[in-house]
Parts: sequence; structure tokens; C-alpha cells
Amino acid sequence: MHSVELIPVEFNLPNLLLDLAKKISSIIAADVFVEQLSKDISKYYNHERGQYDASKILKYIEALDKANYSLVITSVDLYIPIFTYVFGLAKVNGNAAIISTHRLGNEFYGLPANTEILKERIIKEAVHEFGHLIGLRHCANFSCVMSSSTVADEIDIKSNSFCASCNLIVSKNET
Amino acid sequence: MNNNEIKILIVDDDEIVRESLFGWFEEDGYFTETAKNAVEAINKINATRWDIYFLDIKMPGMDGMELHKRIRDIDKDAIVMMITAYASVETAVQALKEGAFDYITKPFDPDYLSHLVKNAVKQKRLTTENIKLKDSLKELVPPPDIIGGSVHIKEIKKSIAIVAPTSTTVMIRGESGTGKELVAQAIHCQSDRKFLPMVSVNCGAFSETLLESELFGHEKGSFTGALYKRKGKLEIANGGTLFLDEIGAIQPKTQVDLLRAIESKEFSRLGGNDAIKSDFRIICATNSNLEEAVKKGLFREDLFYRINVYVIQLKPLRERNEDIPDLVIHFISKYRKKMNKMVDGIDSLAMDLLLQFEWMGNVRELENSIERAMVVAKKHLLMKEDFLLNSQMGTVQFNSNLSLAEVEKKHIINVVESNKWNISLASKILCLDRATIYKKLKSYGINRPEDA
Ligand SMILES: [Zn+2]
Ligand SMILES: [Zn+2]
Repeated sequence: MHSVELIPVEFNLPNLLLDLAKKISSIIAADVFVEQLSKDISKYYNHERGQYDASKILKYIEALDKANYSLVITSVDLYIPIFTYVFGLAKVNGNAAIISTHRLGNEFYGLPANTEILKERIIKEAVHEFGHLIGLRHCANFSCVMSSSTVADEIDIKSNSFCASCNLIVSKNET
Repeated sequence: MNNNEIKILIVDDDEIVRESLFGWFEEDGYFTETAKNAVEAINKINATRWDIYFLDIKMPGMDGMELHKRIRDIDKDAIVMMITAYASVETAVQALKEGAFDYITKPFDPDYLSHLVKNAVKQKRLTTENIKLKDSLKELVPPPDIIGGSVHIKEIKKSIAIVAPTSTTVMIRGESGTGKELVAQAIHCQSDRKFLPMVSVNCGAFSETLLESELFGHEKGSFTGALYKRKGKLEIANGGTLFLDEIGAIQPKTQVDLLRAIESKEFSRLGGNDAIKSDFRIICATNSNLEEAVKKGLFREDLFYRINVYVIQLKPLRERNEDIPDLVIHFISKYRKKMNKMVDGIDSLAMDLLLQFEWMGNVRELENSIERAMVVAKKHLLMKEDFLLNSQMGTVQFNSNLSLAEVEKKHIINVVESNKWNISLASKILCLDRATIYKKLKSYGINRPEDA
């Protein structure tokens, strides 16, 4: 069974963490525990863009060389140099992933804030990036959590779990 | 042709660009390689066939423009994207004239790149072999069950089967709770659009501005709180189905915009000028009298005729009682799984009660009462009491002008009667001792009937 450390960094909804960890754990059938040690990511802030460099944060986390998978969750806005923003980042078959809740909340789109929708989106993004870590690529099935979403409203369309073919790949990779 | 059969070559002297594009396409499952200059690229081009190229315009040595020409000489069908910085957009436009597929300006919007590549792949698939998404997608969301054996339900199923494979606009009418969205989903799942999602909008749930944003999307800053650009549901439904529930709630200004978008399949985001194309099929639903709204000038006649093409009218549940037993069994098995409860049927007295009830809230109300009954159920069958305790289905109709004492009286009598004057049972349910119940009944002037 996999183990995942959920690492909150500049995450402003700490009271959601245990609940998120529990939900994610039940979907991916892995132990998910919350890491409490604080991490300083201030040097990955780009003043010109007002965003944090996701690939640099990932490299920093990867260098910590943890025994388990690391999943960083943050409220700050992320970018990689070629993109205006990213929701999250993970290398296929890597050991660390990062997701940002910054562009997932309805309130950033002029809509009333909705914690339930936000939580669902966070869970799907977390499961999605974890999927990449265990070797999955994007899936053409729109209801599969591994289908690619580049805007928040698209996340709502997919379910929070792997489709049968993705599950098959997961179990193959495990053996 | 699966994603891993599509080969992408990225040519850029900047390692960060190479690395991040490589990572991005890796997640999509494309076969991807990178080259740090034109010479390395030409070696890779000579060694194998590539489908899509990303070329940096400015590179030391041979630049992207020149490399593009070389690629064209070898493969005139190659799809080439130019990568540029703002400063060299004019050069990129020149590359378009020379046959490049498109160009992207750093830093780019991930959603834009995703679209660009999807379009490129689509074109590649069309030119090489005529295989569509369908063949790579084995499993799909199964169509929903439409429960019931009545003549009405049979007719509805027939209508769905007739209209689903066409591209006709469908209007589903019926009281709330009759399952209009379920019918829409069934139509979508039986159409050739089933490989992409059905996107739903409840038009009654938004203010005018928010509904416009919901439908057409908005640009950053187009209204208070719109901090980021948003894609509308019309755009998200591209290739799939757009389900517009409570269509009668749309305001006149939005009606105009919607009609135009339906007719031209083109619209722009709130606060934006770019025309966005989207190919969606429309299914609408309403529980209101649209004809009346047209007469009163509240609903545009032209929009009405545009959407009221193929009408499916759903009957209220009280006019098709014979479907109730099937529905009850269906909901019991649904909630048995969800709640992990041992209930596997319904007592005949309880079923009689359900058959007699008026169900003003239709199937949704029936489902809710089954769910509530399942919560309190103690036996392996749902009993009449399970329903009486949890809804207004008993003889008690609580309304807001009753005093607390009156409500108490009604409730006590109801529980006692529905438990066939078994005072021990009633005392457990009410959490009152038996003596208190007898005392209360006496004070109400109610005596045990002869036959109880
Ligand atoms: Zn992904
Ligand atoms: Zn999948």
C-alpha cells in the first residue's frame, strides 16, 4: 500500500486538512497523513508575476528525499515559466506533486464562495496529481479523474475516481 | 491512433521551455522528444517521422523560421507551432503565411495550449486515418435507468430513442420532480455525442449577470469579483450536450444572446470581443407555461420556436400510479447500498399508502420519502410507520399556524393510530411513558376504538 504525506504550505484552510486526507485516502486506497513541519517557499516567489514557481517548489520537495510520496497543498498561485498559471504539477512516475487551491474557489470568478464545491475540486486535483505519480497519464474518458482539466468548471464534470482502464494500469504497476 | 502514437518534437534552446513542455505532453501521453538546436532537430527528423513540432523562433545558429522551411520541404503535412516572445509576434505571423499551424506567445495559457494541441491532433488524425475518439474510448458513462412499466414511460422511452441520434433540439416539459434531467441524460447517452459530457445549467439558480457568465464565460475583470477569466458552459459543452433547465427563468437580454449563440454556434465571453465557436446540442427543460410567458412578452417568441422543436411531456406521478411499485423497489435498492441497511422490500400496507398519496413533488418526493423511511426502518421491510413518522404523508398536515400544543396532540394521535393502538410501541417512538400517553389521550377526549 502506498503512503502519501499531505504537506500544507501557505495553505489557508487548515481545518479542511484532516477531512481532505481522509477522502483522498479512501479514493486512492493509500495511507494519507498530514505532515505538520512548516516549509519556507518564499524564495520561489516571483515578484514580477506575483506567483510561485511550481517546478522549483517540486524540486525542493523532491530533494528532501522522503520515503513516501509527497503531495504539497497550497493556497498561493502557481506558475511554470512557459505558462500563465498551473493548478498543479507532478512528474509522471515522480515522487512529489503540488496542487494549488488558488484558482479553484468560485469566489475568484465572481461567484459566491462554496466550500463544498471547493473541497470536491481539491480532492479531484489531488487524486489526479497522485495518479501521475503512480504512472498514469491523461485519460480520454471525461468522467475519469485522470481526464485533463485546465479550467475550474471543467473539474466539476469529472468524477473523483479512476475509470476502469486507469484502475487496470494502477494494479498492473503495483505488481 | 492513440496519444502515444502521436509524436511531438520540441525545439528550443531554453532548457526550461523544453523541460516544461516535455512534462506537459508526457502527462497527455504523447510520445515526446526535445532538441536544443536546429542541428539536433534535423538529426531527429532524419531518423524518424514527427507529427507535431514546436519551434522556438529565436535560436542561435539556424532559427525557427529557417528550420520550419526545412521541415516543410521534407513533410508538407507537418503541423508546426511557433513559440515566440511578445517581441517577435510579427515574425510568427509571417510563419503562419508560410504554412505554420499556429503560434504561441510565452507565457501561454495552459487551456489555450491544450486546445491548440487537441485541434492539431484532430487534424492529424483526419489526414492519416479516419479514426475518431470513439475507438480509443471503450467504456462510457452508462445511460440512466428510466424506471416504470406504464404506457406513458414506454412512450417516453420510445421518444428518447427516436430523437437521441438526431441533432434536434429537445424540450422536456413537466412538473418539478418528474425527472426531466434524467430524460436529458438518457438522450445524451444514446446520441453520438456520448463520448463527451452533458453540461447542465439551472437557469433559475443565477442572477442575470451570473447566468450570462455561467453560459458564455467572462474575461478577467468584466464584473466585480471576476478576478480570473472563466470559460462558459456553452464552451465547455463543445462536442457534447448543453442541458438548460428552467429555461423560462432566463431574462430577456440573455434570451437574445442565447438565441444568437444557438443559431450561429458562436458567441463571446462577457467583457470580451473574441468570437468563440462551440458545437453543442441543446436540450431544454421547463415546468412553467412558456406559451403564456410568450403572450405576456416575458419570453421571446423567436427563442421559444427555436427551442420548442421536439417536445417530450412528462406526466406527474399521480397520473401514472402503476409506476410507483417499480420506483419504490428501485429506490430501496439504491439506498440499501448507500446506507448499508438490511431493508429489502416493502410491507403491503405501506405500499397502499404510497399508492394513495398525491405526490405533488413527483418522483423526487417519492425518492425522498423512501430515503427517510430507510433511515428509521428497523425491519427488513419498510413499514407504514416508517413513512408516517417522517413525512406529511400521515393524516397530520402540520402548518405554521398551529400552536405547539395542537401539533403535539396531532402527532400523538397519529403515532398511536398508526401503531394500531399499541401503546408500548407508541411510547417508545414518542419517548413518553405509557401513563403520560393515556393521560394525554384522555385529555383529548379520544378513546380506543372498538376494532383496534
Ligand atoms: Zn494531469
Ligand atoms: Zn481513466
